[in-house]
Amino acid sequence: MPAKFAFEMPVAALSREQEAIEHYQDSRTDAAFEALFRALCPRLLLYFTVRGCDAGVAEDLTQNVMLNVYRHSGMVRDRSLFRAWVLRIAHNELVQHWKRLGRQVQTIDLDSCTAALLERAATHPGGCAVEFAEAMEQLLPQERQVILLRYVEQLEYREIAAVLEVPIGTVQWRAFVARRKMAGYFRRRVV
Amino acid sequence: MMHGFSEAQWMAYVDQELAQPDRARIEAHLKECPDCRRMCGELLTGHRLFSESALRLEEDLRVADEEVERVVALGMMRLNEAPLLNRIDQLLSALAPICGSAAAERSMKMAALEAANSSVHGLTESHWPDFVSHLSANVALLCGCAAGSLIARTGAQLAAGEVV
Repeated sequence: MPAKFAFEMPVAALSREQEAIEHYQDSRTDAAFEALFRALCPRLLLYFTVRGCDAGVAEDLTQNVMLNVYRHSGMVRDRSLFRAWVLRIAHNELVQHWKRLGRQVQTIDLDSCTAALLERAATHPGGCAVEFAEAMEQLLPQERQVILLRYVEQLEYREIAAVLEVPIGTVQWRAFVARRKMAGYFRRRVV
Repeated sequence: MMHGFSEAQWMAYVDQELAQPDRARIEAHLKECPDCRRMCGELLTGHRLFSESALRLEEDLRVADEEVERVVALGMMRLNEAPLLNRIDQLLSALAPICGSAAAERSMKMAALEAANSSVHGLTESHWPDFVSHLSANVALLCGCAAGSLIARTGAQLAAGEVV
């Protein structure tokens, strides 16, 4: 058996999200949508903040995402991939946001959070953003995408595959390589 | 593949998601193979480090409940005060059969950018004439003048409250 971690992923927020998603998919009422909005809001704000948006922009983009969810949720075919579908919309909103700012849009840049986190670390000393950003810098952009979606957004591999539109085997391979790189980085730092 | 097991199997084992009998096969192999024991240790270490630092990051960036409530309230207000949403959906329904749904969505996004420098959701009543004008011009380029005219007329009808 692998060693049991002292640390466990928080499950309360995830199960609250899942309950809200299922309730909304079953009932489609405005009250259920508001509950869904409340459940997904912290994750979406975090999604945009980690990728370099300031608080106001993160708030706007979160609202845009939820408007899209309200209008198009009937199109979701696989109910179990609802969270992945929401994050795909978030990704598209982010692309649109950068386009509006007139920046060069490249997928790899969108999901490379290191610069944004280092910037944040400079204005929020004592936070752990710099630590996470340094770890992310050890990875290739496509590995960062997977690690962010797996550990920050807490998606399952099949959900990550749906967000990134790549085969699940590719997602698992990238996570496999990223974990080994991280272990190597940690060992070098300790030495 | 590493010693007869795929990366997916190793990941599932380390994440404690691998079912029997594969789990038993890996455990038997690990007793014999120092290379795989070392590799498993690295996967566990990587998982722990990513998990811990992501959790601390989340705590660092966590938004207060009051802030979440404020964003939700504003978002719901936007939703309730967005009479253009239905209009946009109807325009999209008219456009999709002409040029395909992907091109229709893209054209609408582009027209919203040109008319209001915003997403489609950011459009207001005052942007509507410009938005329809840009959209019909884009559609005319994509699908011909007749299609462009049709969209311009549909947009005007929707603005006038007519059922299309």
